[in-house]
Amino acid sequence: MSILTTGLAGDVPPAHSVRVETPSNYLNAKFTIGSWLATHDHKRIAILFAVSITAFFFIGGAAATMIRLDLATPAGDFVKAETYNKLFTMHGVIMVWFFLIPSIPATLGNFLVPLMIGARDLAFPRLNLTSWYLYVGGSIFTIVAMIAGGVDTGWTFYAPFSTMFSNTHVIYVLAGVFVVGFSSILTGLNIIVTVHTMRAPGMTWFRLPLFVWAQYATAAILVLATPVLAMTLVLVTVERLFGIGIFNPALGGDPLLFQHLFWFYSHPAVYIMVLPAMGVVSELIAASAHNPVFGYKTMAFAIIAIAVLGFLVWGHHMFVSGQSMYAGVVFSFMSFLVAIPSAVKVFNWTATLWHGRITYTAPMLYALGFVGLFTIGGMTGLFLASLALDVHLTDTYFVVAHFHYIMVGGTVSAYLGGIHFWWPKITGRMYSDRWARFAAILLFVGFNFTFFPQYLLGIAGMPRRYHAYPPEFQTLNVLSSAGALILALGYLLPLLYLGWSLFRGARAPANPWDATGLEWQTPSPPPVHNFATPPVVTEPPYAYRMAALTRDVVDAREGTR
Amino acid sequence: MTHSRVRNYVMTWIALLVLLAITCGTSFIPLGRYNLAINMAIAIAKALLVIVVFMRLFKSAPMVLVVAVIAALDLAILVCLALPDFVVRGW
Amino acid sequence: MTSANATIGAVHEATLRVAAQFEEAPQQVHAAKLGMWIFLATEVMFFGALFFAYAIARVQFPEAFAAASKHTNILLGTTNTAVLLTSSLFMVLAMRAAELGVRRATAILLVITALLGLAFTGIKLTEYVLDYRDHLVPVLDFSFDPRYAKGALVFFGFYFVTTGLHLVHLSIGNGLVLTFARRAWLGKPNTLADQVEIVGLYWHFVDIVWIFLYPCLYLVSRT
Repeated sequence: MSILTTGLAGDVPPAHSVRVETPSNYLNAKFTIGSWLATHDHKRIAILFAVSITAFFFIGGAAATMIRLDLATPAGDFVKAETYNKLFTMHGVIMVWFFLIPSIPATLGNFLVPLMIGARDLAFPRLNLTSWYLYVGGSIFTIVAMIAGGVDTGWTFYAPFSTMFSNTHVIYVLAGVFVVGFSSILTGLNIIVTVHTMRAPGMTWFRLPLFVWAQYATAAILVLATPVLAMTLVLVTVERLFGIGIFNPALGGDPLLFQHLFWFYSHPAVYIMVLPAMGVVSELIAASAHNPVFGYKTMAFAIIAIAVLGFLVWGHHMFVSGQSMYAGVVFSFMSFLVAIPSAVKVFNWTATLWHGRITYTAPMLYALGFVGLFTIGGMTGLFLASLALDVHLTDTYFVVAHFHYIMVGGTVSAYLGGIHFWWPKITGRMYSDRWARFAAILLFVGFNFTFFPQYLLGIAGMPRRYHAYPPEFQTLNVLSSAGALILALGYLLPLLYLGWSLFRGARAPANPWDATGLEWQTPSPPPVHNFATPPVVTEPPYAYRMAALTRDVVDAREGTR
Repeated sequence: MTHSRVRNYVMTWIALLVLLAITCGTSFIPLGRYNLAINMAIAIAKALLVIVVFMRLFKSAPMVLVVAVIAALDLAILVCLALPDFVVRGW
Repeated sequence: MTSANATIGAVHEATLRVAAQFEEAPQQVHAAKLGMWIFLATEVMFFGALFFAYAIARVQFPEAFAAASKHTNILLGTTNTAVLLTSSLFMVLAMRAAELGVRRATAILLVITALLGLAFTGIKLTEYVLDYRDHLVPVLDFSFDPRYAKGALVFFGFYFVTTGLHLVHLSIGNGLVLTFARRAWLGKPNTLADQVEIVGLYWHFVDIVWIFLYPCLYLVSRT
């Protein structure tokens, strides 16, 4: 099966015209439910995670739909104020902890890291499965909380409202987040140990794909930051249940202690959300432009720099909280610094396109969308990092637009791009690139319609977390809500054509994109233990210019039939 | 050699108990702020003894030392960047 | 071949069963140890955040914390600290025995470690009962000198949260130690020395948490 004949653009050839017996792979090895629920295979666990987080994505999306429906009119007449508070809380909690944080690490990371480094599995397969069960367990708490009426504290659980005054089931959600936090810690631990100890012979650190660098840095953040969140949730629970004055000033506590502890985790958390996306984008752009990533080592060091600096900036969430002015200055300065490696990456992605043989597949569209939207989101982060500006912009829709540009325009775009790019490898099927590109463009348009007006609303002064607003803001809000409908359609489309491809898609070859990387040297879908023979690495990463020379070697390495 | 490793462990244990006696004993002497300083210094010393001797930090793979140092640094970041705010803030 | 300096790989490599994802035994051992140290790093951040919160609360209530700390039982607390330090000694002796392949001795030393851990638990629970009797348990009939009641409530809140979390971790450690004691006694896995070392790392960490808890809770002010 020649690499050249499939999948770059155009229609999918009919499945029945090629009758080959499917070789044994991780999907058809066993079909029982037990073989899935008790699996140790990182590829199956990745799929378990993918199904779970997709379900939560749509639940969080449903909350967002209700929010945008309410905000279509200035009067808060779609839902009550209390209900609105519960909607944005559940939207935030679900999207942050039950979708974004596990999204790329636990799905694409789980699936691809062992393949990319030439290993048979992660270091601790049973821990990996435990991680998924913890996710499921944590999610049950959260679902119970939603059914019991939801929580109205905001995803940030600020004390003393969360510890003393909220009448909703705060502790259920805290328990859910606590458990899911440990799920993510175990994933991080697994990835760090795997990358350190299980790289194939010849796979030195500077031959690793940037995706692996990104997962590694993310794993380090997961392991170092999440425990602080866990303790914060414990302390909130203790104060709420037993009236111990840790954060509540009436009892002698300090509300800024909560904020320092919470944001010490939650700022690195946003890098947990964006670094894996950056890793994906590097892979997508290199493959779609058939060019090595420009400045590979710089990109790797930039990933590490972002991870490290990300621990030093949390106070920029607290500029107006009453923290000392000196803290504000320090955190503002550090926040400007962390923009530098991010900007370097944007320049390098752009430079990767130079003299490339660019193909505008759906993954490429998502990757290019990421670069543009992340740039906008990142630059508006600089606005917010400026102390004087932040005084006016904080708690307005400017902030909401900023983080949605990064998390949705950035991370979700990259996640979808990655799903599309590696779909042939994961499922062994090709999808309709025509529909995929349509969805990608629809999402890009819908996204900007939804969130760009929110920058303008923020500058005009509309506060966030309000269920009603002055009538002069209505036009922009209606624009935003209309965009949200387009977004919703765009997110539903992949379910359809990707789902369709599972049954009717053409069988995928080992390397439909003609990409470099060890994951493409094994059949699609991979065999249970990933490689028929353990690979030995001799090439630098992204050896695209050498591709023609080594194609024969690649063909010879495609697994046994 | 076995004898000396076990001897090391026992000597460390004795040192730990001596430090415990000192930290407990000095608490009954009114030294103002120095009580806290002594207690913290002794606690750190005991922890270091356990880490270096019992947990064999310096005899482990280099990556282990990196992990230990990074964990300490991360905690230091939390304390060094957050604590000044509480001190300087004034409320 | 079992000289006193025998390392794990030299003694056991030929007979180690390696898990499917690993190529060879030393790789698996290294991965397991690195994994435990990384887990301990997460625990450092977990307890570290707790100690930080305690520090802020103590700065907020210096006299109340001093007054409240005087009501902790220094005899039992100091004894417990000695008990836990001694258990760490037996843990490391057990590890040494496992390295030398002396299985029965390993099992006995592990059992002693666990017994000391259980002794700690017993003493701690006794303290809890005494604290309850002295009205020092928040929510459960707490009462304190009105001048310091607000801060004392915070102190004892931290006292029960920190020692409670510590006790949970210790109990998990106890379970692990007894599990490996049984395995050692039955002469089971060839990777015993490494597994005992890894459990030991966890055990020593729990000891270190207590090393810091002891002065924070019992020695705030004894004059």
